[in-house]
Amino acid sequence: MYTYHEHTELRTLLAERGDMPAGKWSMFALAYEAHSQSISESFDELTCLGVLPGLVPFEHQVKTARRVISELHGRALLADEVGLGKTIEAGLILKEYLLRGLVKKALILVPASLVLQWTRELNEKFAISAFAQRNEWSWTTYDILVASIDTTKREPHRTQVLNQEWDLLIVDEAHKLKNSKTRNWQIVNQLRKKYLLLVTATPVQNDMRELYNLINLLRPGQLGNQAAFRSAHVSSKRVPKDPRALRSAISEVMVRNRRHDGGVEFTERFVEALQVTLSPEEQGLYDAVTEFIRDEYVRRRERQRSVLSLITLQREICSSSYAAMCTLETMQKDKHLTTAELARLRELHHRAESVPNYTKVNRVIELVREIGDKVIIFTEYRATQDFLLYMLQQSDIRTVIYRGGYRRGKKDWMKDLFEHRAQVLIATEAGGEGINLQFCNQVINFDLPWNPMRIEQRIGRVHRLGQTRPVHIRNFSTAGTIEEYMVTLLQDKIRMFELIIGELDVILGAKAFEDDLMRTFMESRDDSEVKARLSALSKRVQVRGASTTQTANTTNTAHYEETCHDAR
Amino acid sequence: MTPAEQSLFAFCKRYFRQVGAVQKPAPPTALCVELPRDVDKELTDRPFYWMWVEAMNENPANTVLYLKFTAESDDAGAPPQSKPELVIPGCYRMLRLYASAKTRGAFAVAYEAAPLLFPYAVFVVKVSFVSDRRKDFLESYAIDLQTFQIYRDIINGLLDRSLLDERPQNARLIATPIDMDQIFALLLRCVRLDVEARNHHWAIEAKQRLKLELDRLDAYYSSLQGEQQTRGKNAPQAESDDARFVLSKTAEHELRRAEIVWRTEPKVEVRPLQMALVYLAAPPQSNSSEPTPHSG
Repeated sequence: MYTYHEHTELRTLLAERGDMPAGKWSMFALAYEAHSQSISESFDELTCLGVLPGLVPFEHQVKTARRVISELHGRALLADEVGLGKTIEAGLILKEYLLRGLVKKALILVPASLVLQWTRELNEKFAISAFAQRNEWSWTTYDILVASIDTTKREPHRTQVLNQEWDLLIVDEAHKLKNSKTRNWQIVNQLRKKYLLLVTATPVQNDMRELYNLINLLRPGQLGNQAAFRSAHVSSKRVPKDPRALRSAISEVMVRNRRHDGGVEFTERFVEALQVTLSPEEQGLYDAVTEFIRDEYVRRRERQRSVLSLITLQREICSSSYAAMCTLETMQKDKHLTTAELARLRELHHRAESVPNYTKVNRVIELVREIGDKVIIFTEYRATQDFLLYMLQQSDIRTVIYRGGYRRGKKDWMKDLFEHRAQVLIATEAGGEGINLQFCNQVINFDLPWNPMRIEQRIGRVHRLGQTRPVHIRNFSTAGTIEEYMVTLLQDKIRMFELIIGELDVILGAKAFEDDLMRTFMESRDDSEVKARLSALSKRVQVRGASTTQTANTTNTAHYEETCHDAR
Repeated sequence: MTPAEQSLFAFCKRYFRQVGAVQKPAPPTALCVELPRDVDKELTDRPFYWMWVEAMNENPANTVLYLKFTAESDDAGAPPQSKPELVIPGCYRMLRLYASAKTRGAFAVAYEAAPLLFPYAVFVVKVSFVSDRRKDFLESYAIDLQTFQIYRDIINGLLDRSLLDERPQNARLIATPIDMDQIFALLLRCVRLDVEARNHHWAIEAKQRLKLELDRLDAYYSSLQGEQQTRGKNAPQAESDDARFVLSKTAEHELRRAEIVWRTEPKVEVRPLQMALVYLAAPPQSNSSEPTPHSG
């Protein structure tokens, strides 16, 4: 029925002392008391709750930890919506396993930018001696290790990490394991681990196969093989066949808490659109670039050439002329260009260089001064980020930047500088993923991403548990540009900023929405057609949104969300 | 102080007294103690500092700890060289104190205050039921070294008897040869019998779960064989086609099986934690409702 193991270290210790059990009875009594404090008297009780100095977890976090340990047997997808404290849940589970002696060696794989944040939180909030992986020797030196998944999958680290047994593996931002053909997925698959926690707010972004791949890491066969999964559960890429059946199947491996489930009070969120009107020079440049893109788009589609750079350019010109200037320069190096095309690009580049003032940037500087408090400015483009940094610094505003390419030490340093020394942090989404910036409550979206999941990630940096003040979000919108349509669409028509975080994807379907927008802007012949197509798109979305809230059985991605929700 | 704070305070006070730390004046909700060097090494993890001290033949002043047991406690009494530390359950200092007490209190010799004393080997044993979860029991046993009779659940009774660290004057000890291997073997046999007598519904459940998990896994991998045959050679290759990065399905199956067994298989772990040689005037009293001693 069970295997029986006797551990006789005490006998060995006594033999080393010549079989003389010398010692004081009073110390013996103290040791007994200490042992009594360290045992797990029940299978189910969370013993860690009594020994967590300085941490008062929320009810949903305690419930999740208990459920993962007692019902899901330590292999689970923690898929709470952004800002509900999935890290705390994972920390509680790790702490409980450590206290119970079920985990000694644990590995936490996270994006490089979050290594120090995780290490710090485990040490400070959970009194867990976790170490950030630094070199090849770290793997065997420390029991609780936080490492970057990108480092881990590279040699010599990969071999080191695969040669060990891990009692618990936690993977943060686990949506990076959505594709089973990637090395991220493969390394997690190859690791030998007893317990496994995958942590992500977005277990499905574009395709239900992503959910299948994540669950297959946790419990292979839970959803059958791929063919069985498709035939039993998939109606189309994002639509499950029978939500109830899928709900039941994933409930054994996934926990998802949602913001509107109650129990957690979030501060208010105020959203404002700030419209700026471009100077004649800027407007002229914008119109010329947009016209060039439309002409070129049609031509390239006919010749079956890539339109990617055009799409990038269209989005950059909405962000700043400086960002577009860099792409215009790169485009001139294309060997397939005709002389006329090259001349046109040179002319546009020259116009971009000659813009005498930057209306949008100047308005940001004014706004930052008005706010007089810490501000995060988000932009999609590094060129815009550099330009904003330069302009803010010229205006004597202490500013730091935060981007994906920074090494983790630098990211941590930037975050600390922002918290203690600077007024403004300019971040790209890639750099900002997962960081907690609750000490700031002012967000400026210098430009808006077309992927709503990324907007959600932005807001989630500040509007999360631990935020004590109302959060102010300001969306810049430039009159007479695509950006104006975008802000109107996202803010006024879809009212996405008023939605509870996490509902967005349900209504829009992130990738589909982004693709729709792209086609709308690129394929419309003029502004009136853009307006008409956007209006149709927003109506479609509004209908979907209404049906999501009214009925649980509409045929869109709500099925998935519904399913996830009830899987708790 | 709350009862929990009082209990931590009492434990720390007793510990510091036992290890010979010098107690300095402090408010009633705090403890100020000067630590002997060996205790300091156990309570603060700084091996490199001590390596340096010893290599350089330095003689630094003893560490003075100022521990407070309520958050409201006044820090005014803390000596300038000590940073006041709030002691709460699970804090670093408490974990170190427990670890130190466990090491220092693993063995003991104790005596009852009486003219004629008989020898007993007293054990504290941790029994753990482990599958993917865990439950521990702290058991105590006393073995009469003359008759090899075994008494269970005796520790609380013994702690109430106010045993002495030193042999009382004029007390006569009944001498008996002690074979530690034999005593440990006897203890482990007895623990095993007790474990067998317990309710093992947990193990039955774990075994069933293990079977279900393995059946599901095996069914999944055998279904993949069929799927692979159907797809044949036209199956798309992985992006990471380097064989080192892709686990074969057979290897993956073996690995997942091993993980399930590792996690779910029911195990009983028995670990003697403490042992004392205790001289008593009368057999120990059991705290349990079944006082019948086992016979060795």
